[in-house]
Amino acid sequence: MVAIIETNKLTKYYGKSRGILDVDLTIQEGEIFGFIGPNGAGKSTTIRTLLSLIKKTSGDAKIFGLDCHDHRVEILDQIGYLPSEVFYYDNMKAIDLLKYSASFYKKDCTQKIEDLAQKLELDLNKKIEDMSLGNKKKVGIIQGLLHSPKLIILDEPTSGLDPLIQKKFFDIIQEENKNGATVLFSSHILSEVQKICDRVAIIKEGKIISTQKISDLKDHAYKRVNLVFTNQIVDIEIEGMSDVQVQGNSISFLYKGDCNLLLKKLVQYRLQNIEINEPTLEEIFLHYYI
Amino acid sequence: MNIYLFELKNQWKNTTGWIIIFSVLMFVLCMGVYPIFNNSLQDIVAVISKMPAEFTKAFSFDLNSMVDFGGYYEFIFAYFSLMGAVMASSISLSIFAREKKVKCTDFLLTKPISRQWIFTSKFLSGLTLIAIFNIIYMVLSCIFGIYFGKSLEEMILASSMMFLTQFFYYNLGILVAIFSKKIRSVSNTASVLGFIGFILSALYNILEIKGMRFLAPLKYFDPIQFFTTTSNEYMYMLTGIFLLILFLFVSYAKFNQEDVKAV
Repeated sequence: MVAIIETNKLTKYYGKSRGILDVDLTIQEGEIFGFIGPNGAGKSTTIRTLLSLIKKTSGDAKIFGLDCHDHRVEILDQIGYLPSEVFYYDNMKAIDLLKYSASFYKKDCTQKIEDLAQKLELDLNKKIEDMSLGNKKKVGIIQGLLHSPKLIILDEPTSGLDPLIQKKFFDIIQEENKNGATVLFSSHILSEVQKICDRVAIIKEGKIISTQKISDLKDHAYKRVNLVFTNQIVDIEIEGMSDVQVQGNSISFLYKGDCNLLLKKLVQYRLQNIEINEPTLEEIFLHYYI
Repeated sequence: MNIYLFELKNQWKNTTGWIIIFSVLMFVLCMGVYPIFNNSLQDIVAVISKMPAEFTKAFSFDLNSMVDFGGYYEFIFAYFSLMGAVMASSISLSIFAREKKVKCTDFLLTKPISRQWIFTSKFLSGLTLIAIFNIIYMVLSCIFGIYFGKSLEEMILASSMMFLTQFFYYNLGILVAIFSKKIRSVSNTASVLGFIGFILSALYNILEIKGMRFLAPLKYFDPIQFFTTTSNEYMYMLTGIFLLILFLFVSYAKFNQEDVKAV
């Protein structure tokens, strides 16, 4: 498989403040790659360095095998970018803005604009400054996809969209992906990353702390165990327990380990109820921040 | 061409307004005020002589030279150059601070176009508008100048000083737009730039300290040199030309290298 994005010890300092440190990322062609981390972790810095909006301090960054800075124009011809906050020129209708955006690409984007506007239920003849935040975001989505890019970079794309339009948005992204586009998807909303991404990188304090498949992340042998005791709660200790929460007769905890050992341990207790669930990505994610 | 045409489209109304204002003012001042001024010279001398000398110097009232159209042209040029400076800097501030003002720099800089070409396109669009304005200004200056006895060559050279003044302020506006973190109001910023130049010129006129003229940009390109035998004007012109080129190169370098921070 061809690597669409490759970074090698990519580092960016803002003066003396760290942005990102030694970020190594490889995103394969055709992937939908998630990028998650708390505020200030370095997600936007990584994306903005890839887009040559900011200059790296050291390391390498390549897209389509080309250096991001030296071949910026060639690379950007094949990239669609949707930032977390969308701002456009005053006094412009959506259609005029989109036509202006399309004029930078050497292809006719008229049909694509109309198709996307129809799917997202956007009135193109309205002035952007008169639009709600959600509708401005729709303009941003169309603006990022109108030239059918090979690489789509989304920075928290669904903020401001209602659930119905969010679903349509994800359908559009998945359709683009089926047509060959690679997607880099930065988000706080872990359920979205869980739903749509193939692999995910977790970034914390400027460093990538984990890169793995979504399925592997969930199959970390973590289970959310909820127990309700018949009588008073007993002092329960099992190796592999974490995040223990006690409420009345109930106890809830994350368990990592062999489920057979867990069951052997639990059989000695009188239980009223037991639930063993897949943990949410949020719980796994938070694990990295405890 | 798309950025060039986009900026032209956004600025043409404003520029047309300035052209109309200048045209009307020139007509009124040249065809209306100047003949009255000439016919009522003694009365005007009587009024002006009661004013403090510093006041008349600050506002470029030199009655001895104003009798001749060349001197009168220099007098009105003091005010036209101020207006021209405000106009030119407002054009460059509008064009180069447009994305910064509405926070859509990311939109433009993630398009497949080099920063060099973005800068060049924007620069040429503003320069086109200034060139169009100056052609009309020059034509009107020549018409009025020839009507009042000046030669075509004198008037072409004298009116070309407006283009150089505006080019200076155009590049100064670009510099301010690129180096400023935020431009709250283009018109206010342009007015401030113009009026600082006017105040520096007024101070030079009052104090008459020779070296001070190098600090007064509205005095770099003085049209009087084409109507008299004044020498040494080339030093000030060269200073102005050097500075406007410097502003341009520094702005170009900063624009190409700058990190674009997230909004």
